[in-house]
Amino acid sequence: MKIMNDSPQKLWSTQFDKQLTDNLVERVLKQTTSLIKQVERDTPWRDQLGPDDRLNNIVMKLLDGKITWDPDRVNLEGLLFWAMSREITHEIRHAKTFPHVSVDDESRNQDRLEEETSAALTGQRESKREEPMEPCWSLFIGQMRVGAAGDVGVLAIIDAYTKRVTTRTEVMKLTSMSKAAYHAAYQRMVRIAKKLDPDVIATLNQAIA
Amino acid sequence: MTQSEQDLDTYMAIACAVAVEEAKLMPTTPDIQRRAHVIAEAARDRIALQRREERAKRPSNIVSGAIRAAIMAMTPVHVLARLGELRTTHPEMQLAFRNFEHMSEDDLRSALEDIESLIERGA
Repeated sequence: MKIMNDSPQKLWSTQFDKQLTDNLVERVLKQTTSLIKQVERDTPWRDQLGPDDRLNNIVMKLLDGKITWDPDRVNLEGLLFWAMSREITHEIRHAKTFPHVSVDDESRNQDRLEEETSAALTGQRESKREEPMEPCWSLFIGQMRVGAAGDVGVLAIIDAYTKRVTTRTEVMKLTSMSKAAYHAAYQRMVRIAKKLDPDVIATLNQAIA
Repeated sequence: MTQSEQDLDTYMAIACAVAVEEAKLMPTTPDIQRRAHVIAEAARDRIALQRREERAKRPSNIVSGAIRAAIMAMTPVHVLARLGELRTTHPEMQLAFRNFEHMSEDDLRSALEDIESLIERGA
């Protein structure tokens, strides 16, 4: 008699063994390094962990069952990079800037410190009452659309992304693009994103800072 | 989902596409190889540990030599009856030795103990 009690986690662990190679980790490390660099270029977000710790954390979460993986739907490389990008997205979304007032300086008058803190907090509340400014990522997408200059394929992919359709298969299905047309449009989109003028992005970031 | 959140997701999808393409052009330096190996080894160590823990939790199929008092108190006739009953209720059970009538009383009780234990453990 044999008990058939293989958990889903155990079933994918076989796939994990097969797919987790040093080469795969190298690729994801490179992807993560590049993603961090780009997000730091385009937004005020700054990485506090580094690609190695980020990837290691994701792998451990996967092994601890905190991230679910269906090997039939996505390969390990895709899953790890996707999970990484979701974490960064989460950090960007929940990043808050608070007024900074030093409280370490013992030589400073305590009343004066409280006064400064209060003024800074009041200032922040006042600024929150103002019309919310368009975040840098919205401005980036606007710049992408301008850069696409009517390129139907590129705009179709961006539109698909706005509908949260991001995988190649899903985008091709949604846009009715052939594999070749999708590939060409995807490469053009990547080129446009890479070529966005860093000065323009810096100006946009300064404008919303 | 707000427009800003939607835009952020769109931005990240584009950024990921760029990152994947840029990664293909990055050279694989000895430093990246070393760092990747460290991460992969840590993952392999963790999964090996998890497997050891999982195995440790599983009941072993090795049964102890002890025979429970209830079986010890049974007469050979009762033991044979119980063995027959178990063979009927568990037809999937594969027994290496079926000629129970020629067994000694001790062997009979031991055989019943083994079978009862295995059934209890769900093996």
